[in-house]
This record gives sequence, structure tokens and C-alpha cells, in this order.
Amino acid sequence: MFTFRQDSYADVRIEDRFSTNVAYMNGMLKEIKERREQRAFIRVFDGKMWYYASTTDIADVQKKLDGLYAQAKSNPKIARNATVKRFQVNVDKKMVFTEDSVRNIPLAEKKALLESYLPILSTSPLMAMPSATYLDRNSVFSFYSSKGAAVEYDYQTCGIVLACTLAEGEKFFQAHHQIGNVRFSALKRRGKEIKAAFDEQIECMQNEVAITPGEYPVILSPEAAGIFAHESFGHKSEADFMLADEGIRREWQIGKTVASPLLSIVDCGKSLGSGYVPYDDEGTKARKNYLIKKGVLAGRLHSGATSAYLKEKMTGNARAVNCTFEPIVRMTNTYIEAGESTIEELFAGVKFGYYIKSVKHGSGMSKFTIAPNVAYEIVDGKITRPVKISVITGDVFTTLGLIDGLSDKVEFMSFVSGGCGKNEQHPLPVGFGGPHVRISKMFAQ
Amino acid sequence: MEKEYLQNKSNVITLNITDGKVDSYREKEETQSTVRVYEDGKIGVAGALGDVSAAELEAQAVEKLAGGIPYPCKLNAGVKKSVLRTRPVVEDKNLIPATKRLAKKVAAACPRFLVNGKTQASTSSGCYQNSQGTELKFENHAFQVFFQVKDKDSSNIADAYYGASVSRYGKKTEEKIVSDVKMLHDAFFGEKITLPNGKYPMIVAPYDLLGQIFKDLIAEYYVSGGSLFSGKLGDKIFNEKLSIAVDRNPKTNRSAAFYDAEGEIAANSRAFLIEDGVFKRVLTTKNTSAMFGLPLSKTSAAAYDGVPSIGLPGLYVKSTAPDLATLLGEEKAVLIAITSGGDITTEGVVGMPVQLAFLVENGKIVARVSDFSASGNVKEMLGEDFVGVSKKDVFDAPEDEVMVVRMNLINS
Repeated sequence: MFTFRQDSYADVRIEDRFSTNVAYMNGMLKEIKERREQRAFIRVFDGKMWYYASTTDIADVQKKLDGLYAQAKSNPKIARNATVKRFQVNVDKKMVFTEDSVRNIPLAEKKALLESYLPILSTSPLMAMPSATYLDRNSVFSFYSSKGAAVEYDYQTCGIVLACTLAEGEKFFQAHHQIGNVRFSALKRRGKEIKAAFDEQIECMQNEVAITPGEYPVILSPEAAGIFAHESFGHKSEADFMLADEGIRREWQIGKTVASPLLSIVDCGKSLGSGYVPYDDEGTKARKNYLIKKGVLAGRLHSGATSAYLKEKMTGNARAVNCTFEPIVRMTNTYIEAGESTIEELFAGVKFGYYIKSVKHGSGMSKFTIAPNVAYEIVDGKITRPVKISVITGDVFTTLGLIDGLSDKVEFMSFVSGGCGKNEQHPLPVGFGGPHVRISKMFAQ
Repeated sequence: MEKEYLQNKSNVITLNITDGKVDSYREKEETQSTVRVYEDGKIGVAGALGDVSAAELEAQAVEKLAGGIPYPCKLNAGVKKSVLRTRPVVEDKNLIPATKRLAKKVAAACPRFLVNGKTQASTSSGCYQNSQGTELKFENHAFQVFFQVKDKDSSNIADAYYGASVSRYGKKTEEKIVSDVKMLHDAFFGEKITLPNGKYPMIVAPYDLLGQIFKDLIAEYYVSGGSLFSGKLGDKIFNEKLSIAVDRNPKTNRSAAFYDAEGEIAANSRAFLIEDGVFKRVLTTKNTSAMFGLPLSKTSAAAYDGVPSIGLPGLYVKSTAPDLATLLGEEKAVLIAITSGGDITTEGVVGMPVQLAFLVENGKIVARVSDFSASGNVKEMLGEDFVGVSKKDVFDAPEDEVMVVRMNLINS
């Protein structure tokens, strides 16, 4: 398809992205559009420097490739380069959304589905400024390399984001709920779930009380646990932070105990959802990667460069937010594996603490932070009243060691808006999940 | 039928630095074109990547009118203005050698840091035309340096950040940046103290704090009653020393057009939301301005194929002192260098877990401060607890202002 030279490594990644956006604000149509974009990202590596270019004109790819070749130095021994040697030569076509692609669903049908949920946002006099958005994306990726890789696969997400302001006297609350899936049909008949989510937030707004900042036992819902896994240890598992750093390489040896023995964290791009990545942006096939297994450091996430540097297997985690950026080490679907307790047993172990049910956002480095949306007080193992918490936070390693209970069922989350940010690349779609997780002590304020 | 035509072009070259060496070069060139048409109170928008004829887009936009999106047509009439700043901060041919030299010097000056980062040179240009005779054109150039450094012995992804957006780049600026990162390095590995719990003046980047209340200034939130400031337009809500604007002034925002996405130009290309502590404007588009009867803020943004919405291309905070030493006198302050997220409750209580902070005296860093959580009510922080805005940062090269507000320090 492209004319590659053999005195340097090169690859071409092309995305044909279709997306839809239908939005209502305050009962008025605010946006309705379908967009189709084609972009390509071209990389050339001469063994010392990477040269990148992007284009929105696919017919221009060869010219861009030749331009990068002209900047790179000729390296006849490039095939022996440790990074280049690691790149897989997969030839595959993995199209799983052809039959029910959102490209084939009429815009009017998407608009009608969204409109069917609008009445929920006016079921209470406390609701104001309702907003409702339908979003979808279907991407067809293709990847070709100078080593002979030729991979084609598709990706799809769709969902609905609903929000409104809840206001009563001096009290107010930004309520929201999102349903996300990979199939349009799964977005239908979800009214009861959406209504219940808003009713709960009304209850919160009316009754939530401020807390006294301090350290408390905390139980995380599967949504909060998934964000916790992503923020607390997922980012630390991205091996690019270990490049050119012998000290860290020695310290972060596989087999080291880093968490409570109850904890296992996995990253895997194979499962369908917002973090579905059957082949990463270097053409590496997805696999199940244990980051922590029973409290012990079991693996990390790699690109070709980090895999070569650390002499570890490729994991399928080189990802770019779109075809204007180079792939860097990123997560896919990250989750905590189930434990053995029932939810009731988990709560029974808390005399006084907090339950974080839903989350606005999270972030993390040496510390991690989660901003709860809906949270409750726990007294003698029972949920009592809603509470207002701006953030819960903790040192990553201390908190990983303080996990003292996991429930026995895992729930996965898939999203249609937002995503993970790293360096300049945001938002990258990721998925996460987990069981309910009990932590003996976290700082809440 | 009224029409608008917009085109925006960007050319960005990014050099990546890993372990003190330049290891990648990335170029991105993109053109986005838009046509909007208005008829019978409705809007039709068409957009495309690359060079597509205006006639082709117009035909598509006319078809989109059938989508039925209500939007008022109030085009800016007869304004002709061009602001063309055509001189790049760094010539393309000098980018790689300049970045290699800078990276090498920073790595040599900071032996205990693993030095990663980027330099980025960008050219932004564009035009806006409408059927009422308005023709606007801009071009501007920016150069940014960003270092993401870490203690070679730490297990963190990054331990400190340094960023500078500069309007000139030469040997003197290079020396300032090297000196700044060395100061960060020396302070990072220097004395670490734990301050007792209490209220301190804290030095913060304006966006870190004001970003928390951005949504409260959007028309839809304001009107819904869900804003911290609902019903207070025209009132004095903050300290009289505080003035905040959405910034499109080419001197201080070198990436954005001087006009907004609807062809409107704020006075001096700065739309003041807060002026001398008074709540002057809510963020509106022409649509929300008409819908809610609010003044037009001239701050709209738009995707190349989308209906205009709200955007924040840059933030301007009026300085109240030339530097931190003048602003604070002999009072000690805490420089918040890295926060781990943070959020605000509906009552305006801000919680910011702080991962890296320094004690500052007379405008200079004197010690590193142990991790803590900073908190306060935003109405007080920007009211009675607002100290002021320094034109100069602790660091020498950055050209952005820093804010000082009193916040509670809670050791965590």
C-alpha cells in the first residue's frame, strides 16, 4: 500500500472516524451533526530519532512519509534495533461492528432516542436547565509497517449523557447520569435506571451534610474502585516513567510486594467497551496484563521502546488519542479483580466511615484524588445519610496497603464522554471497573 | 440568508525531550473551514478539514438548516481588521539545535533530575468573513517550553513541572529557563519543612483556582440557579483588586484569534467577567445571550463543524504588583507547584491536595514544604482572603501572572 524503505523503520496509522452529536439544552435543540474525519499518522525511526507527521488527506500519506525519510538518517542496521525488533508483524482484519455500526443508524432514530429520555429531566420542580446529549463514534483503524504488519479493526462507542441543575432555596447540585455501550440497541429502555439515578441525586441535594475533614474508613463503589485502580496504580504501571532510569528499574522489580495481598489489578484491551484496543497503535495485539497479583507487582504496560528498554514482553498499550499524536504508554480497560466478601460483609466492617458511590473525576501521581458526586455516611455498617465531600485523597502506596476487603462481584464501566489525560493527550477513551473495595483509612475533606 | 465563513490554520512543531536528549520531532499542519448560514431563526453549519471551497460548504450548510436548530442571526457588521504578527518566536530551522542545547544545559544543571519535556513552536492564522461586510484576519506565533522532571530515585511518573510560554527566545531566555529549572531542582532537593496547620498566603497559577469556578460563569448555569453566583450579575462579589478576563489579546494570548468564533471583538480583545471585584459578564454566545436576555460576552468558541458554544482560549488576570516581593512584603507564602486534582463543593469549598509546594520569602524559594491539603471557600479566597496578582512568577522566564490568596493548610 505504501512504499517503505528498508534503511529505517516506518509505520502508518489511519483512522476513518464517524461520529454523531445531538444535544438539547433547556428543551431546545442545540446541536445535531454527523462528522466523518480521516486522518493518518506517519512515523519514521532511524534508530536515534523518531520523526512524526500527520495529515487529513490520505492521498498525501506517501508524500509525508517521504518527507520524514528525508529528515531521518539512513540506518541499514535498523532491523537489529532493540525497539524495532520488538514490533509485531500482525496481519489481521478484526471487524466486530460492521453489522450494527452506528454509521448505519439514521440520525432521526438517534435524535428520537434522546428525546425519549428528555421528560425524565422535568419530573421534579427542583430540576432546572436540563441538558441531554447523544454521542457515538465508529472508527475503522488500519496499520501498516515497514516490517510487513497490516492490521485493520474497528471500534465503537455510543451513549447518552443527561444532566440538570437541582436547586432548592440556597441548595443546589449538578446532577448527571451517563449510559454508555458499544451497541446502539443497549441504549434503549433505560428510562427506569436514569430516573432512579436522578431521584437519588435529588435526595442527596436535599439532605447531604458537610463532613469534618479527616481520615476515615472508606468503601468505594465499583465505579470509584475502577477510577481508584486507574489513578492509583494504573498510571504507575505505565513503563515510560522508567525509561533511562536504572535506579527505578532496580526498585520496581517484578515480584515486589506493593499492596494488600487481597488486591489484583488487571489491564486488558481485549474486552469490548470504551477501552477496547484489539491492536495498539504500534500494531501490537492485546493481551491480559496483571499489574498487581495478590499484592505483588506482576507486570507493567509497554510500548515498543519501554518493552525493549526493560526487556519485557509487549503488552499492547501504545496508544494515541488520535492520529495527530504519537502513541505513548496508556491504559485500556483497567479493573480490580473480585474478592470473597459479600457487600453486606464489607459494610459490616465499618463503624463510622464513608461510601463513595459515584464520582465526578479523579487524578493521580504519588497521591491520587477522587472527587465524589454521590457519597454517604456509614454508621455501624449501615448507610445513613448523604454527605458532601469535595475530595478523598491518599498516598498511592500507603492506600494500596490499606485495602482490607473486596466484594465478590466485578462491574465494568464504559463511557461515551471524558477519558484519561496524559501529557498533551486528552481525552483517551478507557474503561475501568472493579468490585466494592474497602480501605481502612483515607483522607476526606 | 446571512452567511459566515471562517478558516483556521495551525502549524505546530513539537520536539520531545527524554533524559535530556531530543528524541522525536513531530509536525502537524491542519486547516479547518466553516460556513454558517442563517434563515428564519435557524442555523446551518458545515465544516471540513483541509482546503474545501466555500461554495461547497455553503451548499452543505444550507442543507443543514433542515436540522432545525434555533439560533438568532445578529452578525457583526462592517468591521475590517487584521492583526498579523508574522515573526516566529523561533525560526523552524533553529528549533532542533535550540532545543538540543536547552535540554543539554538543563540536564547538566540538574544532575539529580531525569529531564523530560517538550518544546513547541506554533503558528496560528485564520480569517472570519460575513455577509454584513465584516472581514477579520489574524496570524500569531507562540513558543512554549515544558519540562516534566523527576528525581532519578523516585518511583513517581513525574515529581515537578516547569513551563514557560515566551514571546522572545534567545540566549538570555535560554539562560533564564536553565536557571529556573536549576532553582526548582535545588529547592526540590533542599530543606523540607512541615508548616503548622493554619491559613497562609498561597501562590497559585490563576487557572488552577479560577478553573474551579469557570462553569459557574456560564450563562446556562447562571440562569438555572446552579451557579455559585446566580442572581449576582452587576454585584461586587470579589475583592476590588480582582479583575478577570477571557483573553484573546495577541500580546498575551499568542495562539488565539483576537476575535471570537462569532466574529465579535471585545474591547482590547479581553472580555472582563470580573472587573474591580464586580461581576460584569456571564459567558454567553449570541444564542444564550438572546435566550436569557444577558449581555453578549464576545467569548464564543466553536468546533469547525459545530454550532457556537462557550470557550476559554486564555485567561487574563490583572496584576496588582510587579513582583511577589512587592505584593507580599516580608510575609512568607506557599507556592503551590503541583496539586493532585481538586474540586469544589456546591457551597464553594475548594479542596486541593498539594503534592509539591515551596516556601517563598521576598519572592524567592527558601524551602520545600511537606505535602498538605489546601482548602478554603472560593468566595472568601477571592474576597477578603485575596492578596493580589503578581506580574512576575517566582521563576524568571514565564511571562504569566500568578495569584496570591489565603487558604487553609491542613497537613494530611
